[in-house]
Amino acid sequence: MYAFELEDVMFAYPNNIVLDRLNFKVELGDFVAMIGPNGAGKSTVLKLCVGLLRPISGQVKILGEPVAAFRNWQRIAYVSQNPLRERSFPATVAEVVAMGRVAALGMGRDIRKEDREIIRQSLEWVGMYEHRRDIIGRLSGGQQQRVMIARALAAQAAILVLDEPTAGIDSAATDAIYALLRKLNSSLETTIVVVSHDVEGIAQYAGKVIKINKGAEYYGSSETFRKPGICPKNKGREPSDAVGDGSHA
Amino acid sequence: MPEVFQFDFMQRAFIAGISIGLICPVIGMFIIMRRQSLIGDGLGHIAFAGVATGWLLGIYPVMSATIFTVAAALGIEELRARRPAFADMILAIFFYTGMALAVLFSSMSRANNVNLMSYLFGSIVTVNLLDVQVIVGLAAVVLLVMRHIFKELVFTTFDEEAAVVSGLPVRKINLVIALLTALTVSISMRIVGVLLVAALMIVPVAASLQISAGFRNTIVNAVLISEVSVVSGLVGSFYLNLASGGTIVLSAVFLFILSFGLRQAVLDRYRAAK
Ligand SMILES: Nc1ncnc2c1ncn2[C@@H]1O[C@H](COP(=O)(O)OP(=O)(O)O)[C@@H](O)[C@H]1O
Ligand SMILES: [Mg+2]
Repeated sequence: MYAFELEDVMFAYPNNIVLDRLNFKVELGDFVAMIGPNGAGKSTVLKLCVGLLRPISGQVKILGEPVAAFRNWQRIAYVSQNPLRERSFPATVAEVVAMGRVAALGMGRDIRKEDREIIRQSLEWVGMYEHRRDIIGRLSGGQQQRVMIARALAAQAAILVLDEPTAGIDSAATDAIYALLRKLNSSLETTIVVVSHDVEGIAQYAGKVIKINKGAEYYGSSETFRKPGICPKNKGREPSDAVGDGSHA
Repeated sequence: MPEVFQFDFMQRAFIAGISIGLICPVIGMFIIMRRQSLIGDGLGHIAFAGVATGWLLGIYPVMSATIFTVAAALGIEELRARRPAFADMILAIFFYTGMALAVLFSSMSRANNVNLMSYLFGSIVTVNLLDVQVIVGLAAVVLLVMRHIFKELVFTTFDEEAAVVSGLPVRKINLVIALLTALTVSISMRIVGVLLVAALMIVPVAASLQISAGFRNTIVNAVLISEVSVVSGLVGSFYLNLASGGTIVLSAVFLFILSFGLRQAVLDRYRAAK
């Protein structure tokens, strides 16, 4: 079973072809790091995966279903590149994590005791329980990202899609987030797709690496990727050779 | 019983005022966090065009104002969703159109100026029984709908993309909040007046943000601040014989200055301790 399948996906903004026949598949249980230069189209790929954007041509499937027909959104959690747009938003950490329960509860229903328990566990998982009453905007960038991950955990999502969760965060906090994602992937079998600019760092944690530049320039295991000559530039490889479904690398 | 509570018109003003004092800051909290603070002003001017039209056609002005604001709010939201980059400009154009229509219709209707002024500045003596019934009824509707979609609204306001991905009907939620804002504006104008309708949505929340911690806590305190402003403003309006819109909003501004000072004092002490 695949979490995401992208087949010959094209995407363009006016006068700007961002993705040209992109192909790749993410298996359930994978931990995929997405890398590539600024403006390469990484955020666009993630938005296509989670249905925020629709391709001009080609097909995107989520859990085997075409994105337009997909209904099981509670299985997916997405954290965008700048999740805290409004820094003055007065929500506490616990209130933000409670948002993870909203879709599962349905309209007109209040948070129940068991939801509070899920929220507590999620916060403990990311090590932010002591901060539950703090205002989200007053935390450090690394702590904010951990809260966003806790929100995804509270939603009990099977697939977690994160856009540069480590942007602007120091290296210790970055490692802590990667370690957290790996723990999530190995002990809860959460499928993870994470964009990172820190090529060397993320490749040590993720199982697979995909390098985006209009299409997929490399897709395979992170071990192969880290071999000399491939990282940071995968010299000598034809993109078409490199693009597989990632499962046999 | 003090004199101020003995008159029928004051009782009506208190009932209507307390109703809008409850819903204005709740709506205001969301429009501030969505960076749409100006929408209240825009809709206020459109409501005034509705009032003038009502006069011209002999329709109950609160009803014509409601029709105008609801239509405009849905239009603004629809265009905002399609052309987000132009959201501010679109709002401004609706704003001016409303004002221009208001000027046009009021010059045509030759309505008695005192009555028009009562909608501009808010007036407690002209609030009749029908007004009170409509205000209480619509305020109850706004409150019930808010209650029903509250947590969805919080999530959508905080992180719209994540809310979409989690499967929430964000388009519908945005339309509903636009609609509720329109209703709130049109029922609040009797008491605070179209020129100051938005102030009762914004100022109590701004004050509350200084002294509150957490989203729910901020809303609860904003409602308290708003109600204190409404009641003291109405009392002031009665004894000093001033337009209620002015006294209510100035009370709110006073509470804002107080809470701002309080917060500053706490911050200063915190810095000094460091
Ligand atoms: N909303 C938009 N409108 C027009 N062009 C955009 C928009 N968002 C992104 N782009 C362009 O699309 C390309 C890919 O952007 P993006 O996916 O954000 O790249 P990355 O995340 O890899 O830095 C860039 O050239 C960027 O300028
Ligand atoms: Mg990006």
